[in-house]
Amino acid sequence: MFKFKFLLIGLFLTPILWAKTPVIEIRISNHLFYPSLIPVPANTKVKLLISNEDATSEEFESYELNREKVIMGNQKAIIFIGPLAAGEYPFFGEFYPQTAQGKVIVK
Amino acid sequence: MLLNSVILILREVLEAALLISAMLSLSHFLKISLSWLKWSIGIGMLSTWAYSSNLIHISNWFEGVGQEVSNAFIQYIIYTLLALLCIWLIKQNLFSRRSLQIITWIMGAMISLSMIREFSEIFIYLYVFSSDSQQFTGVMMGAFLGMSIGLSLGTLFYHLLNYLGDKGSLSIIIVVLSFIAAGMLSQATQLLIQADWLASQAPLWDSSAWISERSIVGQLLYAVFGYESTPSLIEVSVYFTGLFIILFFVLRQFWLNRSTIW
Repeated sequence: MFKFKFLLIGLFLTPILWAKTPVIEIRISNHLFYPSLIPVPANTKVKLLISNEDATSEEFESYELNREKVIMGNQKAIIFIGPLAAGEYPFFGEFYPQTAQGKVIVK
Repeated sequence: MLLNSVILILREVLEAALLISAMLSLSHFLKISLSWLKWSIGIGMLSTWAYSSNLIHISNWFEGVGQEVSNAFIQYIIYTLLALLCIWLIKQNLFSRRSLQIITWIMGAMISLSMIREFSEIFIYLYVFSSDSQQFTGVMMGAFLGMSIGLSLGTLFYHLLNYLGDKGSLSIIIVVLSFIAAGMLSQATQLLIQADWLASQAPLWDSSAWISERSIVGQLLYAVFGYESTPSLIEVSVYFTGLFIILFFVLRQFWLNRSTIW
């Protein structure tokens, strides 16, 4: 019973232990993501550090990654993704979706 | 740009519109005057403006995940208010003056909070294009269309709830509110996963081929049931736990009422 409770607490409440999380830097410039293709190792949690170099705000959005975050102009934002199975996960800037597009490629 | 604007505004408006419709339907059922709504929307607009204007600072809280945490916090409060509302609606002296006052306060607070969550993005989006004279007209037209579609769907939802409410008493509204509340809890969990405050997990299933989150149906299901095409175990668990907690207390109150009567 004790083990079961412990498992439940671990499942719901414990933030991930602070193991070294790889950081991947992405820039937004002229409503484009640089780089637009982001290679990520499979089954690994990754921290995306996104710098919006435009003066205007942008929203990072991905249905496939289940992520959504407003990044104000000339600001940085952190988004954690993964661990993910191998595959392609498109993302886009919701304010400028025609140009601001990219993909997380998990191998 | 027009189409992007329609989609973005519709997505943001829809959830708030459905929640407002549910509250209006409840007001209709309980015969509460709608004067609370203008206060609630007024406070909601002011709070949204304050939140959007300070989003740079808020985003930097908690080592860069302040946006997720504050949004999750708002969702948790909305869940709690919806749960309290559902339980309160079962009470025997529902139509007493004090009871109706409490319900009105809960509804008002909930609408204001949901506006902060949903409309802050619209504020920022429109602000981005306010200085872009070339795109501004298209964006505003799209915003108007998106808003109109969202409000139309909200109106339909309102009439549907009124129809069901008249047929099946208050219990139908309580069940709908319980589902919306559970969806809020699931969304909050998703935000805390994004902030890395909760462990990320592999999705339990992938239903995106059947119902895409991008589609109108997907958006409607998201607004009412918190639909995710690739939910994780923790999101599903939290959703059903949240739903059962409300239904447990509602049924408990129902049985207490019965035992008092008999």
